[in-house]
Amino acid sequence: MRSGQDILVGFRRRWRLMLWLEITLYALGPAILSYLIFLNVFWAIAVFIIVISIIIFFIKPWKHSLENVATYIDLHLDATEYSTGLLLVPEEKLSGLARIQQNRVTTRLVEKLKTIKPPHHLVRGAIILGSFILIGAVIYKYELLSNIQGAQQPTITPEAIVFKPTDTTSTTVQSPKLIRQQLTVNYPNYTQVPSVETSNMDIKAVEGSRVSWQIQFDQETKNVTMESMGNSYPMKLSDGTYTGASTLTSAGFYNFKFTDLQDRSYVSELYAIEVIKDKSPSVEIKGIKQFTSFAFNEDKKVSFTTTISDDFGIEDAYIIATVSKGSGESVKFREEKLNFNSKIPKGNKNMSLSKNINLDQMKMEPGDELYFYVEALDRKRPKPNTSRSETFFAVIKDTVSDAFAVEGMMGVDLMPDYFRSQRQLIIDTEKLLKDKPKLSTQDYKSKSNELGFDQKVLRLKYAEFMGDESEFGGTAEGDVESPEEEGDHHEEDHEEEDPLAKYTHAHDSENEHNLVEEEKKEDPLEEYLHNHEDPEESTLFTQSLKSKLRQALNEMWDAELYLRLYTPEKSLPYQYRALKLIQEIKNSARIYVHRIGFDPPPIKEDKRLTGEIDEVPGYRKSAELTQEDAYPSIRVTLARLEQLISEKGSITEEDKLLFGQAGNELAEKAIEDPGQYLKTLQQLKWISEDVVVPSEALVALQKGLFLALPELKPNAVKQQQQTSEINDLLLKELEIND
Amino acid sequence: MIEDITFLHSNWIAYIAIGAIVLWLVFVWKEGFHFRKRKFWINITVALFAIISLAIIALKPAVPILGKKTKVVILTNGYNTKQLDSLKRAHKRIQTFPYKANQPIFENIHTSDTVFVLGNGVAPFDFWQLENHKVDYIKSDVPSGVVRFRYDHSRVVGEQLQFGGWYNNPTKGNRLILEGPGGNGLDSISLESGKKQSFQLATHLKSVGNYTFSLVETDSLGKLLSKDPIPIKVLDREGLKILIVNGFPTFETKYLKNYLAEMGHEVLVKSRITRGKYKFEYFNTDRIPIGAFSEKNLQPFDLVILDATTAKNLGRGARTALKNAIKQYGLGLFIQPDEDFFRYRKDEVAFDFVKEKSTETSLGTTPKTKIAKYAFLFKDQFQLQAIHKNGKGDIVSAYKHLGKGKVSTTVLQSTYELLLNGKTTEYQQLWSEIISSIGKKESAKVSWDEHSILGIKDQQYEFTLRTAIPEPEVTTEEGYRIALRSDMDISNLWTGTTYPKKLGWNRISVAQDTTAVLDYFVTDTTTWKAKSSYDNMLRNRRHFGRSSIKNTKQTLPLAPINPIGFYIFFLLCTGYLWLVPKLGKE
Repeated sequence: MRSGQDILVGFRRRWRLMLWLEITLYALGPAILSYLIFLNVFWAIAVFIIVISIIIFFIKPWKHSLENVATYIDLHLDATEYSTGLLLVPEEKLSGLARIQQNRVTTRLVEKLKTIKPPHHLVRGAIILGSFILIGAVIYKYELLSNIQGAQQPTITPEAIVFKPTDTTSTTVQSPKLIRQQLTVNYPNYTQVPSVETSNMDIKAVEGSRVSWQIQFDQETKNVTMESMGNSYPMKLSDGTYTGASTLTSAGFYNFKFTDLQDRSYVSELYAIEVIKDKSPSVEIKGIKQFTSFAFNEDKKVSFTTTISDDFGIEDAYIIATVSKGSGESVKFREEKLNFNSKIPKGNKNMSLSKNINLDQMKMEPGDELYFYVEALDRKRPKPNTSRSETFFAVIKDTVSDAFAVEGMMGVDLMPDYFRSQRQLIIDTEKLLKDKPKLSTQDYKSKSNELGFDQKVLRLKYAEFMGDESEFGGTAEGDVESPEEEGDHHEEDHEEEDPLAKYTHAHDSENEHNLVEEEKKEDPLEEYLHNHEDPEESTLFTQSLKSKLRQALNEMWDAELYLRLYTPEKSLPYQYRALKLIQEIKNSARIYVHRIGFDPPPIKEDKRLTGEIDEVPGYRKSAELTQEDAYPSIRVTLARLEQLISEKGSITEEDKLLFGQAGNELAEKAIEDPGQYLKTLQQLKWISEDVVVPSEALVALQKGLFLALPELKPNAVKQQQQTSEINDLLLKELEIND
Repeated sequence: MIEDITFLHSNWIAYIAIGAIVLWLVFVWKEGFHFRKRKFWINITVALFAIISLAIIALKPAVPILGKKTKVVILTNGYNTKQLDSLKRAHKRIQTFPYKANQPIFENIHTSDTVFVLGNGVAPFDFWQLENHKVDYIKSDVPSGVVRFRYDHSRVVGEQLQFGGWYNNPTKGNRLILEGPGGNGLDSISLESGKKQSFQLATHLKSVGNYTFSLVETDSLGKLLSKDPIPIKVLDREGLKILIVNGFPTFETKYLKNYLAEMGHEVLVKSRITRGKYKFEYFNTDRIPIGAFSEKNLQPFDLVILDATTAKNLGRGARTALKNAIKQYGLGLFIQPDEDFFRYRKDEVAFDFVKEKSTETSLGTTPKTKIAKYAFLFKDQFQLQAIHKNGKGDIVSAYKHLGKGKVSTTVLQSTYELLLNGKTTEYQQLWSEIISSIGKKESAKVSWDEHSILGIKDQQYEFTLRTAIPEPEVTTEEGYRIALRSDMDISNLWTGTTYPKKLGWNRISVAQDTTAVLDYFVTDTTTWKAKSSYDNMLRNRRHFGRSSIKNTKQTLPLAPINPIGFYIFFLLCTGYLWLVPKLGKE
């Protein structure tokens, strides 16, 4: 028979057990829920421990003393007659009656204790646990919080290199695991960018950077290589770490491949190498106009600021100034290299420099021009990038060249100030006709007469070319007469009529003219001679031209006549004809220049190709010009993929070889546009390396390859034809009835 | 009424008749002692009746069931409820039955009256079930979707696939997308609202092989509504062997030969340098001597390009040889024109030209590209086949058949200027069209007339075969032989039917020539739904429209007459014969 105390202790143990169980149930729920959400055991355990400690704090299962137990039993078991407490008191300390009561209670308890149970909330705990599991299951099943999980994932395995076994048959042996991966990028010295260590295997670095990889596995492996663009570079093993290094020159892709001790090989994903070119500095000149000009008496100073920026620092900058003197053939250049006002701080990425140029110090004179631009060099080695600004101009205005000068073709300037061309005369005549209603008769007539006079001047001018010295005299006469206008005629008439004129030596006026006239008249035969010996007499034109010119002069005569008769409208046709003739003369003058060259004799058509041709050899040439298709394997791969997709076939060794070739073809294209083709290249790589892929991946690959293929050029093809007797008969019939 | 009675055991009629007569005669003999009595006559008459009724029981008489005069409606897919309602209004006691393909339609209905078929109609393989009925097919509305489409099932790589069709009852905003293998969107069109819309989608084929393109319909939000396969066979390019003979070197020839050689054709250029001296250029080909034309040395060539001068100055022998090569072997001849060419007329170059002013044109296909031309145009006439037309529809390059071959020319000139202007594609397009259309055609030994390479699983797929092989044997991929039927008039035309079991590409081949294969694509009934329903509708309309014209004689099902009456009559007769003697004794 157990003592009363033992019974109570036993009961208390049961009670505590229940409480612990309850706590466990409460804590298990959140733990499972957190596991289902985060899919991580550590999280679950952490939650479990936290919840348990919180609940223990509330429930305090150790706190239940034997007195409490006795009170509980008293309350729940009437048979104890509220005397359970007696059991806790040692027998010796009790009175007789109490001992009897204690005994009774003990026996009763032994009998009845099984009927009561310690208070517990196990059902409640179970329900809570169940509901937590239910919530967790729902979340897990429908991925309600997948964003949390997704966000969680990468932090657990940051950019780890994922190796895929290329042989899937033997999976029993544990494959080597990657424990450490590190990529070190050493930028070129001049960039002053510290080297970067990262576990992200995609490389993006400046051209010329040195890149090194370090990979460590948990097991011993054989033969780790880095594959890039169809080549493979073995990695060196040192202290259990595989290392490899390379200098970046061009963009591309690479991946790792290793074989373990069982000779199973693994490939990693493809990683992109992106090479950033060192940019040339950018130079900008501010505070000055592109073209500045100064008067010679101004303060001739040019000042400007230049902003130069470069991605990795500027090495040097200077101004190249060129002074040009003179013009035309006598131009001279002088180039100078000028430094900026302040010294250039080397290696700065941005700088603003200013410069004042005093044109006088450049030894520039009026009419000289200064061209300058700024050139900047960056720190790239071995050959720096250079760039230059736009060219700016500064000019000191020339004081002389503003004067107008008429330069004739001949030594003597024969062009009178009021010389009007025939075309101008026509325009003026037409204008006059148009303005006729507006003008008074007087004005109209005077203007018509003026034009007549101009016509005369022009005629005389052309007559000059005829070598008509007499007419030339007329020009001079016209020259002098011109300002006198209307009166002129009267005077002339008067002059002609002047009976004295023939008998007087009017040396005082129009002296030279008279002299010439005199001279001319000294030889009365002159007009009837055609004196070729005299070079003075020879004309510039051939006979036909001469007649044409004569004709033109005649037309001008008539034109002048009608102008003088105040009927410009009648004069116009003559003017037009004169203009036409003059144009013709001008054009034939051009032909005359051409004729200076070689004038081949005309070919006789019947004699053509009748030369000695015995020496002429026949010519034979063979060439293979067929343009090779740049993507033959991709095309074959496409067709093969279609078969694989529709027939669910398996990939053979030949296919792998083909996919590998297609991969090489695609890689060339992918370098130019990695964003578009990298994924396809990746898939192709895996397929060719024997990784098992689902058919969706094949479809995606096919899509990618199809996109990568360029369109074919149009080409003629041999077409197929179905021949049959009926067709032949029809053709024959057609021919007969044709 | 009585004439409708037939006997089911009519073939036993002789035996039964003989047996009955014999039996009766025995009875007559048995009654012999009552001879000449009134009783005798009665007895034998009664016995006759009894035996006749027995014989009739044995013969099983039957009458045709003139079913109840109720009209029947068969509801097929896509029937219009309004039509059904109005039918019900018109015929009060009309009965409706749903239609299930390939299952008995009249399992327990018999009607002699009109059978209405509503909806898209019954499948063609179920037509026989309605053969003896008066069928009135009431078609429903044309289903919405792509009801007609057209494209070339086999094209050469680099050519354009043009997929044209007709969309009935389009939903505005939806898009039709032509997708390549793998699901690349290649071309698309958005649908407009309206009754029907025709559409044309196109893409260039990039790679050789059998591919499944697809026509995808999406709604305005990009949700996929349907995806139907467009199987296409992309064939490899086959180069041509081209001979170019020029009286003097020209830029036109220089650029043309370079283009052709780069595209992999075998080109031989013979151009005259001076009298009796020629420059020979061989591209992608071995050196073959080529002197004056003879049928023998022209035979390997697919196309001869001559300039107008050379063509004019051909010797008599060469001319005949060229003509024969064209007529008999199907050689193509292209004449590069010059100004004089349009003026002279000769028999074999019987092109007629019309003079016109403009010396520049643009092709209808590329309206923005200007091409120089001579101041002439082709006169459209019988036998003239246009290759290129300008924007106004005038012919600028054309060919004529001459025997099996073709003679062609153009009014375009200095087309190489297109190249110099950077319009390489236009230039290449222009010449590839001319050369493809006139080059010698390869006549296949075996060819398949494939009106459609789209088959439906477990449904019949018909194909036509043209071959010179005397008794071709066609087998499926699984090795089953397909029976062929030869055409009555054309002996080398064969037709066959197969029932494909496998989805995707299937292949049938000729046993005698293993290279002659027909690849066809098998899909299930879930694709091209609108088209197949529309086809079915038309087929039903044709079939029932035709059969209603001829007055079909109905053969009605027979039902045996219940023989209980004859039994009773027989029992009465025998009962009488049994009772009468007993009554008589008493």
